[in-house]
Amino acid sequence: MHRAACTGLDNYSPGYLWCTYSLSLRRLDCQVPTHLPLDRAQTLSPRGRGCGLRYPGHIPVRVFLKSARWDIMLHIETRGDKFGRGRGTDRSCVLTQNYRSVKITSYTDMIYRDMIIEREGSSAVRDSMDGTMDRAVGLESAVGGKAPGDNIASNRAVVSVVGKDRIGIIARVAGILAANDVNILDISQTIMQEFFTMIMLVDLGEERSKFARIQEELAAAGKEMGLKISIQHEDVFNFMHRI
Amino acid sequence: MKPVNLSPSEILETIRMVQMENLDIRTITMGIDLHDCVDHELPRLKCKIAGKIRRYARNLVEVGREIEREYGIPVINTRIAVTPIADIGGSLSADDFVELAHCLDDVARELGVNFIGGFSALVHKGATAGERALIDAIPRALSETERVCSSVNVGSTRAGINMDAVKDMGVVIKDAARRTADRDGIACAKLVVFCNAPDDNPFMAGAFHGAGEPECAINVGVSGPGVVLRALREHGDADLGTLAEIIKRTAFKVTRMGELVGRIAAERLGVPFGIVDLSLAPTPAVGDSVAGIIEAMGIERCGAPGTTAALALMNDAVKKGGAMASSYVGGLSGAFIPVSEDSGMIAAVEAGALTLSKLEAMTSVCSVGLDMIAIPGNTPPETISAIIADEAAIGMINGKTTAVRIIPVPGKDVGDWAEFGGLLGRAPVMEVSAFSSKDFSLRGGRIPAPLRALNN
Repeated sequence: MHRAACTGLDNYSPGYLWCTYSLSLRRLDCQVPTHLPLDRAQTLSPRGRGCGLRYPGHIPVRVFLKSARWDIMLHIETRGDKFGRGRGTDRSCVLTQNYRSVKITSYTDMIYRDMIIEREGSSAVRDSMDGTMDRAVGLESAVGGKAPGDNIASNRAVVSVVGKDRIGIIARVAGILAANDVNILDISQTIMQEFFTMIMLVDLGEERSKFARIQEELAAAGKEMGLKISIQHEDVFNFMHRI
Repeated sequence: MKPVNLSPSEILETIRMVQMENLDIRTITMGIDLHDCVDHELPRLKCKIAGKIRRYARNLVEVGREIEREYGIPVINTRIAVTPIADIGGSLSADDFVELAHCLDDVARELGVNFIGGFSALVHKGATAGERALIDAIPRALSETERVCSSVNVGSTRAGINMDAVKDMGVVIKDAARRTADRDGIACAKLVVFCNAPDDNPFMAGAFHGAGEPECAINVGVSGPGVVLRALREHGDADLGTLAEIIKRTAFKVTRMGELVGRIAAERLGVPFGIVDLSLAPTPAVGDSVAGIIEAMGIERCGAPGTTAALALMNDAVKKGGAMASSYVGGLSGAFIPVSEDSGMIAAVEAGALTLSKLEAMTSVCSVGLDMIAIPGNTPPETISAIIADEAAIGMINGKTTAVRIIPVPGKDVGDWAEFGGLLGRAPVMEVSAFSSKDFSLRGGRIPAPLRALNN
């Protein structure tokens, strides 16, 4: 038996989910469309014939979900063969050796975008796997959705600095940006009523996750220098001032 | 690469709006349809409802925070609106409805949303057994729960006014106040009585996910009285046509923020974008006041003669500007005049400039109605019913939404203060006419739908 725990479902969900798994086992790739009766708990039992390794490619399984609030145990059993099992939490993003990804959508078009599974297999199982797929992966929805936040058209942001003028403001801000691999596209600065005002347009590149980090670093630097430094996505300004 | 096409003054204008003039996204409200949860057994019904809400809204609060961080626009509230509960609990008793309210409250707390709306019944032409049971359950449901909001639609332009329901609501409001007497009748602050209730309103306490709405939708309410106020103050001497133009331009910019946030939130949550509500919703913060805007136009105190005209001008200009800024406009869309949430309104009441009758007149040209008004605790239920009937009549005849959210504060009288705390603010208890409307309120029946021609 192998199991994957998926977060985001819950034990009260009514009806059925259409579920498509892409399970990558050793030398086994299978797409499994199946019904998930969510209001029933317990381990799954194989449905139909031809489960398991004997029919690589398709394993028809019926899955019952058991959960405590946000954690759903998703059990998949294939003729007693033990593949290992996975557990997941909302934030974890670890590829299992057993599963490459799990894609689940509900019949109501709900997309569970960040359903992640993580391996928690027994050592025996782990040892038997070669671990080539043991790398982080975010799961994508089966209906063409994207992972949350991947859909921002551009990744440019405006850094604004307002406060009392002093030496080294630009150097400091630019330093933080450079350290985070952020390209500065434009800088303008003015002094308005004794207040130093600098505006930078920057390109954050592909990696969206660093936004929060840069924001924290800039805010900390601002606090230290007695300035208000903020970073906002460029779209805010485009949307307000350009049609 | 796209060229850099923003001027520093534009960027600073946006930053100033957010940091100094309280421009914010007042609410991202996720509307969720619950019709597929219908079940004749209460435990299963509860399970299904809780499950469905969790499934759709589990990332709602997180996405709100994400947007706030990345775009630098405060997202004040994230909320959920559901199908009117009376629609899906037709066979339940009042006790069952109270239990259901607890279920909604638990889910709201678990998900971290501050209000969940939709403990509602639409009874503008008549009530079903389920709707009657829900109305009976409202006082208990609202006093025992923290985050559940309730609304009842008692009239519409097409159906007229259901005076039986209006009569009941007077009693319900008194009962809800009595049950929360130790907290100045706060349960009543979570109850709205509507005429022509909108199906897609994102603002509490009147939000619900009405008939004809999709499975799930994101509706956004923006706020920015402070921005409009500052723009008006900059043009002190302009004539009223120019003022209207300024308000339109400002409302456009404010609404664009709502449009942006709505689109992003919908995209990240994987649900359709519903509407932007173009409302100017005040907050207790200084300067973030609709009364302040009216006063900036030259009325000494909000409530003085001229207030209704000023409000009409402002309300219309907000709609004109906002309608251009958003692809879909809906909800209440207009200026809110909640007394307890607007420092200028409070000051006007204190100064004796603003009375209940003036507020009623103002509601004929603004967005909602008598909102967050504290009245003496000994006001008879029939008088409250009559106030509701007056307000519903304004809505019915003018083909607009009107509402009453009124709090008969137990044990308090004119001159006292009702303290609701937090989002709901504080309000001076206002004087209500001492003359009785009892015989009228108790008649019951329906006020027929109005003629829609011969408009005068």
